[in-house]
This record gives sequence, C-alpha cells and structure tokens, in this order.
Amino acid sequence: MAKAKVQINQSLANLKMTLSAGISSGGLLSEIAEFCRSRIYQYTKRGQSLVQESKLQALSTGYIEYRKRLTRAKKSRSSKKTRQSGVFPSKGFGAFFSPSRSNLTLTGQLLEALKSRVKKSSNQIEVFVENSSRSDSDLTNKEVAEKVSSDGRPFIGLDRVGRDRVRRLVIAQLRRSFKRR
Amino acid sequence: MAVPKLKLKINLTDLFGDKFKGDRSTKEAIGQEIIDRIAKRTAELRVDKKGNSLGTYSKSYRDSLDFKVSKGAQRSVNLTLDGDMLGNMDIIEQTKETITIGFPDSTQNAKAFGHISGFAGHPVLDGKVKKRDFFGLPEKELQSIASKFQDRVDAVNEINSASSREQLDAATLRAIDQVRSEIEGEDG
Repeated sequence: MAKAKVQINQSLANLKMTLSAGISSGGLLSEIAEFCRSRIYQYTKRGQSLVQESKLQALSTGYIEYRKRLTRAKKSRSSKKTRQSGVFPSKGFGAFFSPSRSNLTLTGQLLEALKSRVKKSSNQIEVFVENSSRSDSDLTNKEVAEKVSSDGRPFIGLDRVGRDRVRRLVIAQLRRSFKRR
Repeated sequence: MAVPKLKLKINLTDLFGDKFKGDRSTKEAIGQEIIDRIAKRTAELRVDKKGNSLGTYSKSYRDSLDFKVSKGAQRSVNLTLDGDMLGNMDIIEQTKETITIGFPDSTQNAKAFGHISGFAGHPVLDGKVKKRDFFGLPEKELQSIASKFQDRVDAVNEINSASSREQLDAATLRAIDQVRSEIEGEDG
C-alpha cells in the first residue's frame, strides 16, 4: 500500500469519488457512498446547496403563488376533480414541501431518485440521480436534476466540510488497520 | 470573545509506563481508539464523559426544519445533527510521549466549546444552555484502552518485532499523511 488519495469529481448530476488503490475496504466504500448521498439529500431538503455552500436560490414570486394554489387545491373538497384536471400533482407533495421553500421539492420524486453505488473494482463511489421516469413529466429524474442544476440550483456535490469528513473517514480506517496486524 | 482551542492530551507513559517508546503508528491507533469511544458514547449512548445523560432537545429546536429533516422524532440529545462536529475529532499533536486530540476545524471547535461550556460568552445563550461535556474519557476507559494495546506496545519494544512492524506500518503512515495533506490543502 504505497499511496492513498481521495479524488472528488463533481458534475451537474453526478458526484464521483475515487479512492486510490490501498483503500479497498468494501465496507468503507459503502459507508462513504451512503454518507455522501445522505448529506446531499438532507442538506437539499433543508434548502441548502452543498455545491454553492449557501441557501438554494429562492423561488420566484409567481412560482410560489402557483405552489400555494396547489396547496389550497389539495385542501379543498374538490381536490379529486382538481387532480384529474392535471392542476394538482397526482403523487401529492414530497416530504418537507412548503410553497415558499426552495428545497427542490414538489412531488419529492427528484430527491427520492438520488442514489449511490460502489464500484469496488475501481475503488469508486458515485452519487447520482436515477434516470427514472416521473409521474408528472416526460422528463426523467436525471434530466430534471441536470436542468435545475444548470438553471442555478446545483445540488449534487460535497461542501468543504463534507470532503473533510470523507478524508477523515479514510484516515480513521487506515489507523484502525494498524491494530489488526 | 475568542473561542479557546480544545485539547485532550493523553500521556502515554502514564498509561503504559516508561516502556512506551513512541512508535507513531501505535500512537495513531491509540488516538483513533480514543476518538471512536468518545464519538460512540456521545452519539449512541447519549451520555457525557461522566456518564450523565446529555438531556433532551427543546421543543423549538425539534420544530425546526433542520431538526425534522435530519433527526425526525428523536428526543434525547446526542450532539449529532450532521455528525460534522464529532466527525472532525482528530489527533492534532503528537510528541514522543503524548497525543493530543482536538478539532482541527475552527467551526467544529467552536461548536464543541459551546456544548462543553454551556455556550459561555455567547451573547444570547450564555447561562441558558445545559453544559454537555462530552470531550474526554474516564480513567477506567483509558485503562481499558491501555489493556487493549498492551501487547502491541510490548511488541514494539522488542527490537526485531519493532523493525518488521515499522516496515509494515510505514506505507500506511504515508497513506495517512497523504490524505491528511489533502485536507490541509483544502483548508489552506
């Protein structure tokens, strides 16, 4: 085991991390993958962009009004009719939806499509949005992720503290490996 | 008010006697064991370094969005929202006979100081928040760690075992240094 390195690459809808040869514990890779996915999910739901290390860009007034109408429609007695008319999202609102909150949540499909995977052969982990279909659009979740990211709300990535956490996870694992010899 | 840099200094000759020779990889392993035990006791057992409960969260905090997203319905305090503070604990200094544990990131250090001191000096929270001193281990725990590592320390003290172990450990120590330099590169 000559070197260790944690290389992080971020694009619009993908976070890829390569841990160089020598850090090959499958358990560690899985732990890091889930840590990254969970961090992105939670921070985004809280209205924060880990990429920009700030709050997500606020919603426009017009869009907030639209979301408020959807909320009222859901509460009204004619909500079934409203749903059938296509005004109301058939899946309902996602977790932590609020009309004026900018957290990439309306139906919740986008963030529920956030996944992680481990490629043990290449010592890589990846966090990505599944290219899955949506109930309310012809776009896939991956396409929506790319669109919101390029439109000013990038969300797939790691902040400085998150990158620091990953590297400390690696160091901790290396230190624990001393005991086993 | 400037926040003091928190330090937990462990004297290894006190734990292992004068026989402790200062092998770096052993110190790294011992330091990580201490960090792991503090983090686990705080986050999972939810008690401070004296074994006292860390308490329960206030209703106003439980009603906040950050809390609901990250912690759901949890009631008892474990000093973990994102895990950034406990995840920042690291060995910050080493000498031949000691290791010192602290929080390299100034924000996490400030959070830890706030919890330990009850937010002493804070313009709003001073005197209003329970002190939660999680940063340390009782003597019994330190002795348990000493027992766990005694065989390794004894082995290091034997010349033949030390040199072969140094060869095994040198590569891992270089790996630690490399990843650490990536962290410091980002901070710098």
